[in-house]
Amino acid sequence: MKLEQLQVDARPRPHAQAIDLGMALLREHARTVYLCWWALWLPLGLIVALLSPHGFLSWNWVILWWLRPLIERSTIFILSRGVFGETISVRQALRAWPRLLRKGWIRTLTWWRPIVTGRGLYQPVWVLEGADGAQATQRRRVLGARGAYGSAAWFGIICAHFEFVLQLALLSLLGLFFSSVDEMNPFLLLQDEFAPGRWENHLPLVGYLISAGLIGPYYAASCFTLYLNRRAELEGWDIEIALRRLLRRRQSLLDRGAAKSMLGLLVAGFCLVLPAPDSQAADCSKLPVPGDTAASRASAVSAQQRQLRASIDSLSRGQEFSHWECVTKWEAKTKVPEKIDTDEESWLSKLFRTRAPDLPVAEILKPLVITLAIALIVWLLWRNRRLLGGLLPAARDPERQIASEIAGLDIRPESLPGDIPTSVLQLWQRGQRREALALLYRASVSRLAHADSLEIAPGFTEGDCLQSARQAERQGLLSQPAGVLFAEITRAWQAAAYADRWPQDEQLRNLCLRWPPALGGQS
Amino acid sequence: MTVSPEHFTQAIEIARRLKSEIDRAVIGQDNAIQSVLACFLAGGHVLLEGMPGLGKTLLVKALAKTFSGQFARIQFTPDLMPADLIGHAMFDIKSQNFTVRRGPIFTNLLLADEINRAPAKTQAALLEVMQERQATIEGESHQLEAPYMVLATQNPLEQEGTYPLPEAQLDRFLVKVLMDYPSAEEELALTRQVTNNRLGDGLDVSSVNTIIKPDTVITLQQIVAAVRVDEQVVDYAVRIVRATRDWPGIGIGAGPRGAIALIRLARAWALLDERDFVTPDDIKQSAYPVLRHRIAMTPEAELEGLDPDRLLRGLLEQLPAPRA
Repeated sequence: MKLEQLQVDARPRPHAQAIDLGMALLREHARTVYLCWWALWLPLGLIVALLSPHGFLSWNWVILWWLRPLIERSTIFILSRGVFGETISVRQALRAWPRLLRKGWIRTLTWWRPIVTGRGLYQPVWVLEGADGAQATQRRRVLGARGAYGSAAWFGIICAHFEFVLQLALLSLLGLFFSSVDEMNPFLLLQDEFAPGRWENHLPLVGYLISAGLIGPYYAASCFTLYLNRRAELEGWDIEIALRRLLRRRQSLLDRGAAKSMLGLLVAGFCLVLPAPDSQAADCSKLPVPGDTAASRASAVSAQQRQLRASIDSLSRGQEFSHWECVTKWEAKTKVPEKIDTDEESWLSKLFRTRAPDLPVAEILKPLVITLAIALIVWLLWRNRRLLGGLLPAARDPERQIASEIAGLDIRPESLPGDIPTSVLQLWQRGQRREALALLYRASVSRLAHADSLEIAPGFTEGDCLQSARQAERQGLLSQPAGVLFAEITRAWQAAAYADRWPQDEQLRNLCLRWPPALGGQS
Repeated sequence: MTVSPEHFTQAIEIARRLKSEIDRAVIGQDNAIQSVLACFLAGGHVLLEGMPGLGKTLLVKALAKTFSGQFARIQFTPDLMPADLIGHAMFDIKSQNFTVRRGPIFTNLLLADEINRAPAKTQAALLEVMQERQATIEGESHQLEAPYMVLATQNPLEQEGTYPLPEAQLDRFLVKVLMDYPSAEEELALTRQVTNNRLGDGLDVSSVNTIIKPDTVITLQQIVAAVRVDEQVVDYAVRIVRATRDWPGIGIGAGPRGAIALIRLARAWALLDERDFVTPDDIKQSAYPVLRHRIAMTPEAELEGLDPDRLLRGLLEQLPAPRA
């Protein structure tokens, strides 16, 4: 599961919004979902119609109703791939369908069927997670908490009402045609065996087939997005996605070399703080295979023992004993470390013992170490304060975008000449005033976007760039002379571009003169 | 109309002073003051939305005082009739003639409080007056005195028993301004000002000075209409409005009047920003008050908890700025 490929906005939503998201998702994949649903639903209806006993024809739709949860699994499968951007064809979905029925079907088709209207929330546990038994029970308990099951159940009841009304409407409409002119009865088809032996007795089944065929996918899709929402809540998908973006962004900053020193410090810090991993545990390939005990055994003392060992070895080689796995993980230390009993005294304790025997070393060192650790954390936070700003929900754009164009001007560094002021003045002297000012402005924006890492999105106007620069200046990320110069250049550019009002030669020369020290650093 | 740079400079200075005078009476609500003043200079009408007690009446009174204009306030109720607004002809027994009694709309600034509480025909009567700038009483047309601006208010809560304005009528308002609660510091300053040596809680605009006459306002509005707008900026405004028509989350986009309103407000905004030309930023800033009541969100967007401003922000961030 690659969360960054998720096609929906992963954020905790109210249950009503999550259900509504399912409707939007279904609309996106409606063709595949409905084709797949009907490809399974229609043959099932035909089989039920053919196999129904004669006196049961008016009620054979109940069998179809009973088997419906199995069809819903195809919808879950298609949408589960769809949310991650994978397009599933109807053929693929139909091929996968038998595989989806392996788990949880007994529960779904027996005692759950008449009472658990929110089953749609739990179906992905079997279909997608492949959980079974106690694990599935545990998952269901977690997913259904905080009112999620209640929402799914009520939504199931609402859908059932819609299906019932639609079925009733269809049957009533047809009933009017079948009843006699003198005795109009829309409920004629609902009466038991109104015309024994005739094909019209299958009409209730057809009514249900149509109504559930239209509304069923909505129920499955909405319960699926409710399930997704619960997982996003429980597993903090939004936070994970934000952190991954943060990591990418930090990586890009590190690549630029500005923060390489910080990485070194972090790595060094971690190396110092973390204990060295167990070398044997770290390399699973070096572990002996369980059962391979021949080498460690003493020689057999009797023929009976030899025979017994051979028997045990043959059993051990069986498939049920051949599986083994190596798990490496960090665990909190609970064991009290053994006291090292050594006569050798460390140079530090010797130093303190001889020079200052009464000095309480631990009491002095402890606050010192804690203070240093806090200072380190504060420094790291301060250093990365802009990166941390991205964690605030909905406050910033989740991903930093560096625009390549602002107000129609190419601001990529590679599009700029080496010596900006000289090029600007040359253009100005040649009478290409607009080009000269455009070059000066776009070089300034390019510098802010690429060297000073300012948040500049593609849709930014000149004013937005200026505001961004002012904010950076307030945060200390941009020097004051650079901020002032950028404001002047922006004003000059706006007056030229939108009012056809050009700066004096002297004014332009002044801007160019101040450009290298203020903004020309790394463009 | 050609306006000399000196006139522009004077107009900028007057606009700046107008704002500072209003700021004396109305504490906080900086954005609302700026938008209302811009709309006033652009010669449009304002739809104000905010909770009661945020200073809507005070703002209008203060604005009226800055140019010694007349001010009237009407509380819209379900039984308010068009004649209550416009006026009527009455038979005078002494003179044995019908005399016309003009309604409260004959003023410079009209505060139509809770416009959505009046029935549709009363709303329509007012909106017609806003559009035509004249009222007909007993078949006789009466011109409204310029400058004329209607500030209609709506309460975002208590929607029961109201008659929401239809989209076509909302379009007649140049801007929709949202008034939010003031910040803690602003509220503190406001409380101090209102309670300091003051009897009762009446609205006091005595600190506001009159700086211009109504005739000057008309000249000011003419100067605003002459603020320079580059072709690319006009193109940007049109592109924004057109983008609202097929933007995800927007069910009904803005009509052509949206782009016209954008340019009108952007001109006033430029003047308030002490410029005699419009930049794309003026358009971008104007887009929220001008378009937020001209678009209708899709039910999905409403269910998602989005609001028009958020949709517009997304649109403006992604729509490329003009190619200079």
